[in-house]
Amino acid sequence: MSIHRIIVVPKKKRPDVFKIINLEIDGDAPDLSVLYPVLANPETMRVIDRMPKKTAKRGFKEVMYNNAVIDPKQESIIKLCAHKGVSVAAAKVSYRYYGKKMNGLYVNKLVHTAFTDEPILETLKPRGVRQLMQRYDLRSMSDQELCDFSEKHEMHLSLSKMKKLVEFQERLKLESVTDVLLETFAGSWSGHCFHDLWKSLELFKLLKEATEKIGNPNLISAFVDNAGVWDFYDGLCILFKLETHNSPTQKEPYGGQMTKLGGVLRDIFENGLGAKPIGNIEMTVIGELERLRHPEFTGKTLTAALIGRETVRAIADYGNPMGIPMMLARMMSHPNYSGKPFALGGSVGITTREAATKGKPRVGDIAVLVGGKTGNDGLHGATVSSGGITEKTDTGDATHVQIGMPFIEQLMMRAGLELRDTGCLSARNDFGAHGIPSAFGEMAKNEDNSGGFICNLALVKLKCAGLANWQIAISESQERFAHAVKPEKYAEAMAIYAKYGLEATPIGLFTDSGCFQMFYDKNQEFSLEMKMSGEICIDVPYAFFDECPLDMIEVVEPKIKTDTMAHPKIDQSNVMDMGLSVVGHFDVCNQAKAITRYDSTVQGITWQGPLYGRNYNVASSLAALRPVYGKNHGLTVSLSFSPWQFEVDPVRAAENAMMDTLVAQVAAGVYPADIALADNFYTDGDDPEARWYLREQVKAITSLSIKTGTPFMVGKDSSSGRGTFGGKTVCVLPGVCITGMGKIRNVQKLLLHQWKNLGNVLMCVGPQATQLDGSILSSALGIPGARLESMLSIDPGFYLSQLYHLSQSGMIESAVPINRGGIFLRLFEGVEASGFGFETILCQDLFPESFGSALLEVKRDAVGDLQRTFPGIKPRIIGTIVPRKGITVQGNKLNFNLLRAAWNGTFQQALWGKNAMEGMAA
Amino acid sequence: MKTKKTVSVLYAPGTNCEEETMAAVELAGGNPRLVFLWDIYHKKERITDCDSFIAPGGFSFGDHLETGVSVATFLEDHLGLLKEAKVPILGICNGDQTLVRSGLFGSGVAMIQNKSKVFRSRPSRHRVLPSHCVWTKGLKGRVLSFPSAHGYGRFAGDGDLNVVMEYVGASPNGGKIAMITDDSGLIAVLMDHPERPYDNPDGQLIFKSGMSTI
Repeated sequence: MSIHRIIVVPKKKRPDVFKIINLEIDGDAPDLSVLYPVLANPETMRVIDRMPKKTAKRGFKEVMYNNAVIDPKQESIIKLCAHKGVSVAAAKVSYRYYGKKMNGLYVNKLVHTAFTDEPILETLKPRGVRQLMQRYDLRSMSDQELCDFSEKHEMHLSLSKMKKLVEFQERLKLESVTDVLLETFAGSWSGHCFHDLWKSLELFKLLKEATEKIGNPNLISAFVDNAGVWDFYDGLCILFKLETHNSPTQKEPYGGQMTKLGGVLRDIFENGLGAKPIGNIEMTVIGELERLRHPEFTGKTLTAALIGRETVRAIADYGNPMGIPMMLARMMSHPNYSGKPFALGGSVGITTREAATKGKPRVGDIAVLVGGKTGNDGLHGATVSSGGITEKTDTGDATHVQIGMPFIEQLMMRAGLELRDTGCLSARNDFGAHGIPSAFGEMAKNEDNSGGFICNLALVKLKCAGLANWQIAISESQERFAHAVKPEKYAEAMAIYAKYGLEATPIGLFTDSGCFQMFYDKNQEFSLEMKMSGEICIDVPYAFFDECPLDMIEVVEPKIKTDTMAHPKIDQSNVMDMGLSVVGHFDVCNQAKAITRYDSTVQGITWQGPLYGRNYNVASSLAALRPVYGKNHGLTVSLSFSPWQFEVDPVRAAENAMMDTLVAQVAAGVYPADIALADNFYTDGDDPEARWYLREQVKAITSLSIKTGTPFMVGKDSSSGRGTFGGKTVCVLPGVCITGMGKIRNVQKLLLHQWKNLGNVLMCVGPQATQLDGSILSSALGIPGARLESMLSIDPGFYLSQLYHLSQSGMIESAVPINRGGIFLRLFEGVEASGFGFETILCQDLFPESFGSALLEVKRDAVGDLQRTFPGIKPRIIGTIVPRKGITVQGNKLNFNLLRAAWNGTFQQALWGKNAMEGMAA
Repeated sequence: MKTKKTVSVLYAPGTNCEEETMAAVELAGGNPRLVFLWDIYHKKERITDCDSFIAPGGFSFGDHLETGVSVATFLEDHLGLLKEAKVPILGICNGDQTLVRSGLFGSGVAMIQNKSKVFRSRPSRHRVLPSHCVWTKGLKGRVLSFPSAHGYGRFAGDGDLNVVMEYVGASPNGGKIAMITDDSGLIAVLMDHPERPYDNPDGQLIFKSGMSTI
């Protein structure tokens, strides 16, 4: 076996970056020059024999994936070389940078190796010696030993849960329990998979009961499958899901953000009997861009700017090859996310009514593992994300991180639909956290704990040698899918997998044993009569999984804030400065530099994407698709989260986020009862006061859900919202992001955001805030705020109904929700997008943030009619659209170019500016 | 057996624009048919069994080595047959990168990285120049709007190119050229997406022009 390095450089005289294709070839070295025209475009690149020497003055860094990680490019390189007659066993691409080119280079030790001398490569394949299965006698351990055992093995289980495992050992009459059994229960009972905080506080029940009580006829599937499913038109259904990937993104932002999107897309593919993803949603809240509140973190953890940059790169590198249009995208920054970001990704999909509901494996169905090979990536992904991030896990081996490969997942997008339409599968599931026990195990488990599953771990195709049984079982290698294939359709299914170039391996069977069984036996081929043999890894009744002890959860009501915050009076003397503070704020500035890196028009179904306006640079609050070719039926999406609100009053902020999401849709013309909701909670589950806020938030949004008739049908909770660096712990705010998915029979009727006509009047409707607490302006001024006013002064059900009728009245020509940045930001965006000007009679009232209100462009001659017909929603005139570009406040013309410069400059400076690039990783 | 106006739309692992391309072809009066790269490669399918051939957009083979090189290499013995058979060919985005890399336009032309060094997805406007290209017949002087979405979309090279369209206003990749054709006018490539949305009136003009040729 030998390693060959083909060096490819741009044709220009002094190349600055050297690309090296490293090939591992068994046997004699063939003539590799036959590969050169393929590896280096003769028009633009050339192959050279050797690299420039490292000099005292000019060092270099050569970066490649480290040995534990298979290079995502390997498969394509091997296939191409084979076509040219060269048999390659393994491949890795490395990039070498000399001198100044090394500046700003980000290398994450968890996945990359950076050589500063000529690399000596023994093999490109992951090495490893297969560890024997370990066995432990828990019965002989004291309470303290059980707790130490849990921490040492990164199980993160409480004493009561460890004692339950002791009880199982006794009930099963076992001399010892295997590491596979312990890892299986550690994952299944982790906060990430078992949601014990929510179960202890009975929060799940509240949400489910509210949704059942509403009884919305559009609802098809809620809280039982990978996604929530909603009726669409002509026998089709739409579905959506949002997920967070906070811990992996803090540790390795590029891999964490890629696999966030990859994971939530699989929730759509594998929902029911299959669906097609047709839209993506991206939202990330990073920490403070300057270490003002948490200077102790300097040099101890990745900077917010770096996480921000890697987020943009990752979402583009995963989303674009997948061919799924980006619908909404936003990045925000808040000090409380410096220990761990809020990395939220979402996807919407479409499917047939027949494939909409969760499948059920039948006894005898074949368990087929489809997609990527299994490796050691992502191990303990479930337990670590439930246990909070510490420096210890930061320096763990390369296995905590998941590596995303969109190329494989993209193949499943097409094969998955053919499998659906040919009826090959009884059930299907996504490989998310916790590997086989979660993907196949949960699929086989019935409500009454009947069902059953048996699998031979030796049949799992590996991408690295030396995996122990427990690693094979709970690996979180990405782009893998769990299918229950009907035996009579097995050949047809395998042909579909092959057609799309997908690896598919039968590894087990669905049974009626009532047990979850895994064994490892190299000598037992797959057969329909599979029996336990060889190393028995786990053989437990399904009922055991439901016996997870729920520890008493302490909940403490926080002291009521009594302090009041003085905010500046805003008049002619300072309105320009206040305006600059708002439009220049990171959370609301021009982020087109990131958003235009995400393909938002692929699939040819986009009606309103993430940006709009003459310069295509203003962010949308509502996105819309026309998912069915030849039909104008529309699918709409809106989302709301502002960290500054949750810092002041987490419960009112939750209500505001929900009303904001709903108003963005209803003001545009979506009927309230045609909107479904998703909740994504992100809390520090270890803080008793945060638990109080969490419970009150759930109560608040379920009550609003019933009042407005808009059900929650999918959601996720992440309770590990803290990070400890340099001895300091920073916790996230008790927050929830609310997302809405709606439908409209004719998308052409939607009232979008861009101003239409000169002379029209802008009016705002809905409850009006008067204070600046929790606003973008107060954040810019460094005055956080004490309390939020209630935005429910108008009965929510009545308000939405009136707003909908107003949207259908013909009086309105454009509509946008008012939220972050208040009316002022909307005026600035309106001028920027339309090129018109605006004259307003307000000043101070332009800045409070009335979440749940809307700014409507009213036809000049309809203002009086509107005020007479809809008095109950408090219509208020803001001003008039005028020809000359700019904003005039009570006769005072603001310097629009200055505002524009602030709005345009912030994002580039914050993520790619000189300080941002220098403030490198720890 | 060739049926009239059959348009082969190529699917290679990583292609992701085939559905909207087929919808746009159908709307323009063509009869689209998805053909798999591996079927052509393993000779289960003849590449010339069509009236027209479209290589759509995507990230074929993940663009893991260079954009378009994998499909161009696997089909190196087949694409030339289309040229010989005088079949009108359109390459869109990744299809453009593939056909240029395959040598159908001779040497002296390549697709290189956008000047911004990043992928750009945004609306774009294109002016149709006088040319003998069958995909823009009768459209001279028109300004057509359809979106860009690419990272390696700049035409480069020292060969002289038959330019069919140029950008009007901001270019997504820093280059002026938006579309080229070969000497016969039958083969054309462009980086931007006339099939987005599938019923884009400006995009339909291009597909209809191609359909009227066959």
